[in-house]
Amino acid sequence: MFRRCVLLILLGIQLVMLAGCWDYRDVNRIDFPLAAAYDLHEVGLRALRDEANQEQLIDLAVILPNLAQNATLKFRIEKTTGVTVGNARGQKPYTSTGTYSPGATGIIIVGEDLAGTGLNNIFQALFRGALSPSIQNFAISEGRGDGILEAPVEDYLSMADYLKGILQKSERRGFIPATTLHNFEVWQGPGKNPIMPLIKQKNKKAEVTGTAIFKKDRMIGKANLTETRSLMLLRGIKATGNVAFTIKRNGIILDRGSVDASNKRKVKVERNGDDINFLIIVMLEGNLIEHQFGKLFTENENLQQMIESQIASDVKKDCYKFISKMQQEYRIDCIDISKYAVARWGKELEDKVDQEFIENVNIEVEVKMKLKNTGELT
Amino acid sequence: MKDKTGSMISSKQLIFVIIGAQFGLGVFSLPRVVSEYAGKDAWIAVILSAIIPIISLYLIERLGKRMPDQNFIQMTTALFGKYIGSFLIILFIAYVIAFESLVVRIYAEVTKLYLLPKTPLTVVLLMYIFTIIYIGSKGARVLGRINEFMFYLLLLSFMFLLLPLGQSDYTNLLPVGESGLKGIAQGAFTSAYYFAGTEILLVFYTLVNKKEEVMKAGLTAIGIVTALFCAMVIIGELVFGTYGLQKIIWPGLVLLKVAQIPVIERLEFIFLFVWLGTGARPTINMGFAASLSLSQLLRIDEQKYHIYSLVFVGLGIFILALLPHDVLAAFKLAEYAGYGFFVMGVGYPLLYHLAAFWRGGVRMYV
Repeated sequence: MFRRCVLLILLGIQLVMLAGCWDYRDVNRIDFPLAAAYDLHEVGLRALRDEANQEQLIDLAVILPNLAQNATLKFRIEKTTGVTVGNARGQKPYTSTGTYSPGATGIIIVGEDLAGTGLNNIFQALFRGALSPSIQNFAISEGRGDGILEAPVEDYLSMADYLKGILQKSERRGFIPATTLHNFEVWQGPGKNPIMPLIKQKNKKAEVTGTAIFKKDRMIGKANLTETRSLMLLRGIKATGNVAFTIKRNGIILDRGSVDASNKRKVKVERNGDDINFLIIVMLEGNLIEHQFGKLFTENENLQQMIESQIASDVKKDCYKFISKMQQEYRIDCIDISKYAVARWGKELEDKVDQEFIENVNIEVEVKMKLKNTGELT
Repeated sequence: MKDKTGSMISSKQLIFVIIGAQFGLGVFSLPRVVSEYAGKDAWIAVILSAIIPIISLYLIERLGKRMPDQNFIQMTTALFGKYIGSFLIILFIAYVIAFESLVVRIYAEVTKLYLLPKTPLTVVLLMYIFTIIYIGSKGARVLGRINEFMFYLLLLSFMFLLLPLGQSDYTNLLPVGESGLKGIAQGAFTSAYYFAGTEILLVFYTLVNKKEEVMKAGLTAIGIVTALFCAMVIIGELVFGTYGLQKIIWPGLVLLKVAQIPVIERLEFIFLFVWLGTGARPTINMGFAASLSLSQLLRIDEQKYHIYSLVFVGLGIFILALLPHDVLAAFKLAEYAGYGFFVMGVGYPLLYHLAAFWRGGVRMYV
């Protein structure tokens, strides 16, 4: 009986101490940021610290939904400024009533000026916060990030919804890289460098314009849309997108059209003393969407092969162009092949692989295209 | 045989008790800790580290076979006499209390960090301690069943860890053997701490109804734990790489933040809810072993008064768990406590064998 009493008391105390007593939060009082933009401080924006103007400051803009039933606007954009991301968040209580919950942010836009300064130190709060997910999608904006959030959207609840649709799993809809916080972190290992989608406010609308190239955590260059496709194929990011083709013979256009293709890659690496040779095999597989000149496949048995060869040849040419730009302009491995050399020759290369390595290797590309089907028409 | 604090356990239940004693929250930090020394070869280090608990198991099993009707307390007193024997038992109990206080502290820190940030540490700790006392009060058989149930829950929850494999990069594991013998050996030595819990057999041996199956059960348990540890390290390496692992305190948990699955946005929270029970098992099992030893040392009625020993052990764990300043201090202390496993898991059985040899001569080894 006594034992039961002791247990009853213990369980009673446990019941009183239930976690809700301390961690209870009224959901109506929480601010869930749907998207956030980080930029270098723009003079004129409110900075709360007196000494703030003497330091490099960060502007934070967030889209917050208005949960009140009678609110006229469905969302609002709040801006604060701080020394770091966490500090900028920390200024919210002065201007906002709700409890800020950064873990809810699904999309993060970074202004290109800020991206050029290096993001690891600035983004400590994102990496460190246990309640932040690692699957937040990143993008770099050409111009200021807050400008993207402020762009008008008519068909979506807010810009956050539009950006979510365009950036999350974007590689399934086109040759657009989708970069999460996790990707950004692990792509900074030896021989690796991150990439992020580049967006721009164009004709009062935000759209993807290419890819931001990073050297570890610092943005160093941009790739346009054609280069982005080559970059993704060479990097081996599995994607599905539309590839156009034009078949010419002696200056005359024989046919043109497009295919929806998915990609895979294989990398082989060999070494002759100090010379390292890479062979990247890009494998494309897809369906014919259209070809303009109504020649029938049943009439021309070579047509399918001609389309496949043309696409393979076009893609190969673009890939070489991009490799040349990478080796001469970016001078970093943004196609993620150095890791194969490190995997093979280990520590011998690990320390050198981030310094003048990719510029001095030989990279060959082989492209294979296979049309899986040509549709319902003969 | 006399019913001991909730009856006997089967050899099958022993498997789950040993797994329960070894497999706690530590597995979440294992990939970082081992890869710090063994780099890409961390998984090899983990496999090699299983040698230490196997040695411990072998020594304890042989000891039990030689004195099958004597429990840990009777065995110790018979071999070392009343005073030295009592000292050794108290040292064992103190080791369990100290070691498990760190386990509970780290456990509470994880709970606070991910689930209950505003709940005071003392409250989180007390909730665990009460649970430990309550389960312990139900006896060895219930303990065995709970361990079995939680093991299946653990396997189920472990499946979640396969989800981030979509983000893996196999080159993170290559080239094999790059860390060299020294690196792998250092990694294996560190990884061996994570097998702490094998020494629970010193107390549980007499509670097993089929003694001839103890070795097989122990090997099965160590095999399962090694496989799960190894899987965790490999997944961690594949997803984060050695470079990424070093930046994260609990890579095992962060792994779940990487996975993207429809509907469930925050997988780590669901996983942690399951682990609130699963991860507490080392303390439940070891706490039970310590309290049973205390009851037997004090020769109190195990049926009636075992709860008091449990409360004493629980209070000890609670007070010591409050001592480290923060989680990093707890990690540092846990490193030292890891040496305790070598002392209790290997040193103690060896010492007992030597004492037996000294007292009984070669005859006792037949």
